[in-house]
Amino acid sequence: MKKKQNIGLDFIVDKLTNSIQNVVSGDSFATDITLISSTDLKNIIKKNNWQFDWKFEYKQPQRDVYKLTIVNNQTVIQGLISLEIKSDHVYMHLIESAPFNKGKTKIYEGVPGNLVAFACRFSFQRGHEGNVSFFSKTQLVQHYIDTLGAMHIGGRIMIIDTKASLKLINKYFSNEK
Amino acid sequence: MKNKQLELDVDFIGGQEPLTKEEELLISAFIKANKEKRALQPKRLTTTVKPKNREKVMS
Repeated sequence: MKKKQNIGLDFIVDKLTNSIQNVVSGDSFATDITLISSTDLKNIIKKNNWQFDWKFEYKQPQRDVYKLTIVNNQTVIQGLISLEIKSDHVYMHLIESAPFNKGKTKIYEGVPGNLVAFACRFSFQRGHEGNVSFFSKTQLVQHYIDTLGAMHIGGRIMIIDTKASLKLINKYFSNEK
Repeated sequence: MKNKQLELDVDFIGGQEPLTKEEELLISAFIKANKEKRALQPKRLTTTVKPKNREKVMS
C-alpha cells in the first residue's frame, strides 16, 4: 500500500537574518531569490538527497517555485519555496532547504526564514496585504508562533497576517530600497 | 543572558497536496474577520513635531 505523504511544513526557522550565515565561520552572505529554471531542476532530485518532488511543483501551473542562492553564485541552490497566489492571500506549499543545509551538519543557517520573508513580501506585492498561510506539523505550531509571529487558526493551518508579515520583511529586506 | 533558541532536530519537510475547499474557506473567513477587526480599531494619530530651529552662534 502506498504510504500517505505527510502534509505540513516542517521547517525550523533557525535564524532571522538579512542573509544566510555560515554555521562554522559565522560569515554572512547576501542572498537572491529568483524563479527556478528547468536547468536547475536537473540536479534537484531525490538521488541528490532532496526530499520532495520539485519537478512536480514546477509543473503545477498555479504554483511558482523560487530558489534562494548566494549573490553571485546562482548555481548553488540553498533552498526552495513553492508559492500559490490565492484570492486573498499567498499559500506557501513547500519550503525545503538544500540537503547540505539540513540537520545538525548544515552549512548555512537562515534559509527557511529568508524564504518565509520572501513569501510575505510577495503577498504585499500581489495586493494581499502580507497575508500568508501554510500547514504546520502539530509539534511545530508553537515554534512558528514564536519565531514568525504566525497565528494558528485551527487544524494545522497557520497564518502570517499583515503585522507579522511586515515585521519579517523589515528583518530580512531592511537593506533593500 | 543569551536567549536559547528552540531546537527541534528535524529536517525540512513539506506537503505537495493542495488545500481543501474547507481549508480555503477557513483561511478566507479568518482574513476577512481580521481585516474587519483592524478597520474597527481607532487609527493612531501621528503628529510631527518640528525640531526647534537652533542656530549655532558662531564666535
